[in-house]
Amino acid sequence: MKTVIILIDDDEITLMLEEFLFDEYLPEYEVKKFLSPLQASSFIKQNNTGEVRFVLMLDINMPEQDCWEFMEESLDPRLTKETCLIFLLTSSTDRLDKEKAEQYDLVRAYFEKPLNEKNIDYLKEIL
Amino acid sequence: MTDEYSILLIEDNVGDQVLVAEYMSETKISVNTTLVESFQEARTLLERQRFDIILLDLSLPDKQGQDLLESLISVSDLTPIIILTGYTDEDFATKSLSLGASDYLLKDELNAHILEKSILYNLERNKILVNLKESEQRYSDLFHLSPQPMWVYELKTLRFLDVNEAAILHYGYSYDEFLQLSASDIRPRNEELKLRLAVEKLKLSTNNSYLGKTKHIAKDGKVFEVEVRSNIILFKGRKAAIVLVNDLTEINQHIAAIEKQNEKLTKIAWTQSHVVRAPLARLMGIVDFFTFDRISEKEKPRFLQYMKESANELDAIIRKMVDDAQEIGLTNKEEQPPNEQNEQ
Repeated sequence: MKTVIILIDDDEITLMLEEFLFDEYLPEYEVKKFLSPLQASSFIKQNNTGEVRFVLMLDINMPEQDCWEFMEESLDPRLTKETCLIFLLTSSTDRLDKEKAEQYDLVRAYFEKPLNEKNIDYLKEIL
Repeated sequence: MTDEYSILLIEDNVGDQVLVAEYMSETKISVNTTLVESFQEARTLLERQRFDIILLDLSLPDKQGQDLLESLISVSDLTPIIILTGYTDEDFATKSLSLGASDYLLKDELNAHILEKSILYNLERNKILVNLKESEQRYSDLFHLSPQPMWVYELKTLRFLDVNEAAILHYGYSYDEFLQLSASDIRPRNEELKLRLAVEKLKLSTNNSYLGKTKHIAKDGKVFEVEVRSNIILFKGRKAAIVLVNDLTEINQHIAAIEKQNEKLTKIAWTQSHVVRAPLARLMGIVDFFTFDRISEKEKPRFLQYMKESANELDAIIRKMVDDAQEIGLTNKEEQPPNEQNEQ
């Protein structure tokens, strides 16, 4: 099964830094960057053949759509725990966000920004 | 030993003076009688002395009849007045009771027994009257001197029967104008039904009281929210509601100010949690890149520029937060301490 890493964040520099990290530590996976969560969800819909596994690095607070709206309204409902792994990324240290994240099946982990090697190591183990 | 009663006898006829003195001595009560022969004398005396009872002959050399009685009442300070009169004046004697005399005694029927009974009876009755008067005065003071608007309106017609000074000041109507109005006239037009409901609730309430919020309108058209406490009372024989009004304008302003402040506080908390950390996290990410030497020499200027932008963004956010906090008075706006002057 092919794996695609989807980076979603409204901040361009953050996206770039994340891309650098993936290129260095997980070069075997294809990486796609999205500033807009809506564009990301349509990309996923188009490519969701059942043969692709999507790994989402999802920012929590974005002006267009926050991660909760994204997961509930935009994300392809055919996705399963096997075909979609979501990692939430936040600049906030708000505890309520963490508790809320636990209510979503597809969410595997919750990372505080900036993304670091430890987070990448954790990803490596899961993928 | 019984109490001694002080009695003022106002009588110019010597025969009657002797008669009254004689009957008085035959009574079982102990009295101390002072005799004067004219209204002038009586008035002078009453200015500096109190009596328990005044016995008054209605025809004195300087004043007679109704004029005499009314003049005496005005200087007697609630002391009961018993009129002594002959048959010829009996009609006026009856009328004198409504003018404020406590009792009248016909001289031709007078005896010790009747005199004693009248004195004792009127003393006791007067005590009760004075108590009642004081209690009425207390009610009236509470009503008229209340700093909050109060009024009484008739339940049947909703017409105002009495209003206090605070209501006159607050609503802009004079006392006489108020008495021409009904409770519905101080409500905005669309509140009529609400008033009827409130009055019905008041009538049906088990404790004869009602507490509610509504809107009132002053003479100048200004509408304001009020809390109204009503109680059912009897007012001059009519079923009425006594109403205490609490203008909520100021309280509402306070609440609005607090809510606005809360909103700002919530915003600050959210900003701290999300917005402040965004450029900081980015900065930390870039620093990591430098630390682990992931950036080529060629790209370094670009990343330094990113760092600078992130630092500036963070700076702007923090400045904005301080301004917001100052705006709602969260920080002390104390002046900077003055530079210390070094003594040379």
